[in-house]
Amino acid sequence: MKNIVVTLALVMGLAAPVVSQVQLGGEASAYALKTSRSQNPRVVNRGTATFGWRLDLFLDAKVTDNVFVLANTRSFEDDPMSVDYAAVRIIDLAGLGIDFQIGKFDMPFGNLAERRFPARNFLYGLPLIYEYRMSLTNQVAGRLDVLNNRGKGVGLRLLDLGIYDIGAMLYGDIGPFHYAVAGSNGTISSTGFRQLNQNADFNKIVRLAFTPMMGLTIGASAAMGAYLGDGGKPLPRAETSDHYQQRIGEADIEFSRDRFLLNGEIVYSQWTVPFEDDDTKLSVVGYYAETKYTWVPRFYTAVRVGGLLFSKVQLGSATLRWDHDVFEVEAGIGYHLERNTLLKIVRRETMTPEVTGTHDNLTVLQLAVSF
Amino acid sequence: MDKPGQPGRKILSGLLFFGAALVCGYHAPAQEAKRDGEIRGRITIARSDADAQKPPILDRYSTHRPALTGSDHAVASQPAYRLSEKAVIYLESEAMKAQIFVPPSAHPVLDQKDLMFHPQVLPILAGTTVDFPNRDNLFHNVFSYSQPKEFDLGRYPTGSQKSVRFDKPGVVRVYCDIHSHMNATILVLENPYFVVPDDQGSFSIENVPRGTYTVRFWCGRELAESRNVTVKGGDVVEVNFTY
Repeated sequence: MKNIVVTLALVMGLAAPVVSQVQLGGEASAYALKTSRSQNPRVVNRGTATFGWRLDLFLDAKVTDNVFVLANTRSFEDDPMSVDYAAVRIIDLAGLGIDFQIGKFDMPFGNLAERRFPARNFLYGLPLIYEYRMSLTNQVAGRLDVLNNRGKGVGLRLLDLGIYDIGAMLYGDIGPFHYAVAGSNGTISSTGFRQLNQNADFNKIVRLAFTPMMGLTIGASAAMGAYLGDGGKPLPRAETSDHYQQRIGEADIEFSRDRFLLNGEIVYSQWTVPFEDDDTKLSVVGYYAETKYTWVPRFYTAVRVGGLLFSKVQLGSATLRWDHDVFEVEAGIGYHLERNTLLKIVRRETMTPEVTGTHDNLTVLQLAVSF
Repeated sequence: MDKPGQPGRKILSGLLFFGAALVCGYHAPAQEAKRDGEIRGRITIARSDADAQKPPILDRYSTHRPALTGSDHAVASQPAYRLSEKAVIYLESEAMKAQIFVPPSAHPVLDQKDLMFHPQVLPILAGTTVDFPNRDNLFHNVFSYSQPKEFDLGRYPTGSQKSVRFDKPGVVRVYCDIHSHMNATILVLENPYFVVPDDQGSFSIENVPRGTYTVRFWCGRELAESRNVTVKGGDVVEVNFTY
């Protein structure tokens, strides 16, 4: 963390004479949180009430009229600070009206955008499909391993947090249409943002979005790439790791009018998994919808529902879901103490119907400040 | 019966007007000019665009969705405000606090255009209604949490507008909930003796009743300077500010 802070300070100091404009911003948040006690991946701190904090720093530099450097750092509690974003962006590349970005950045998949940060997030944390860790990992594993990991939160996320990865993208607008194509080291569920490419394949991403009327944007994204890392357990057959692909597609909607906001996303993903006896396709459907309504100045309420529905695999004569279906509902109240200071109280209920008696919850009071 | 142009009617009208003038305390314009003064001067900007709007360098999330105003290109090249859009000279006086002034029926406008508010500073008399038209081809969400007037207009499309009446004097900071760099200030004033300078910095407040005043110079987001002056009948008082 100290190295990153020093690097940021050096960049700010050294960049000043070189760039025409530098801007530092960020968000800080602190919270008091309590979850129920269980083995559910949504349980925090083993169910013991706790305080916590998070800090995001944003550094933007305008090098020339068309060239920009952007960086984000993120730190939680006493974990090491991570660099989420460190990219060069060139707008209007060669006068073609196409923009280009290379480095580490949030991949153009879905519509999470600035709602990933606490001060712009109506509720607490990201939607379930961005946070919930499934039983499938990005290492070679047997059928029983996957089934035994159900509900333990040790595997991949369907959408890996903010989907930060290292890669390059071209994007632009044509009237009300937006397009983006990108390549990255990792896949959407198994981003490689802390490492170089772990296999012989790049992830390919395409996104199209359309704004037919002000306040309504409909988007769709698709991606595919090898998700297993080389160098772990050997593959059971003669195939190489790039044979084992994740194919993922999503549709999203963003609607706003007056004091009402709606965001939603539905995602389908399929992995080709090298089980001992055969290559098997595992799939999952994930979704969420969230709304916010501002009743009077400063005060809003928000609701989010989300879920994960897993496909089934054969184990002997039994047919089992490869992870437990999860459904979550979250409701919150937000109050702006100041323009940039938001106080939220949120209650979240997580249900895993297949596991008898499992009904987890979270209650959190969060203060988020942007600067 | 009198007809137009008949002497009897003229005399009667004259008597009625004279009587009404005595009752209502009417003063002819010539008498008004003798009694009232003028405060004029010039603003010199010495600092290098110090309070110019600092827009975000670009729209970070233009990578994910259409940004219908040209996205990064529009945001990166926003101009600074002209002096006539960010400076106000206004008078304060203890004697005027008790007076009631009728707000204008016309609605001043705070525009949302090119991802900026225009003007940056809008002076109004307490009781005035301000219109907030959206002239960009994307949503804005104008709001204020300032004590004199809290409001949240929500999101509304291009070509439509919403209005807010400001009854309490004070400083109202106005923002856009979607574009955090957008900001404006509405100065809700107790009296109508205020003026916006021209782009060269010249200003003149005319018909100022005799008395002692505090002349305040507001620039951008802050009160830049205040001076005390006394206006005597027919005087022209010169007040210059350097910022």
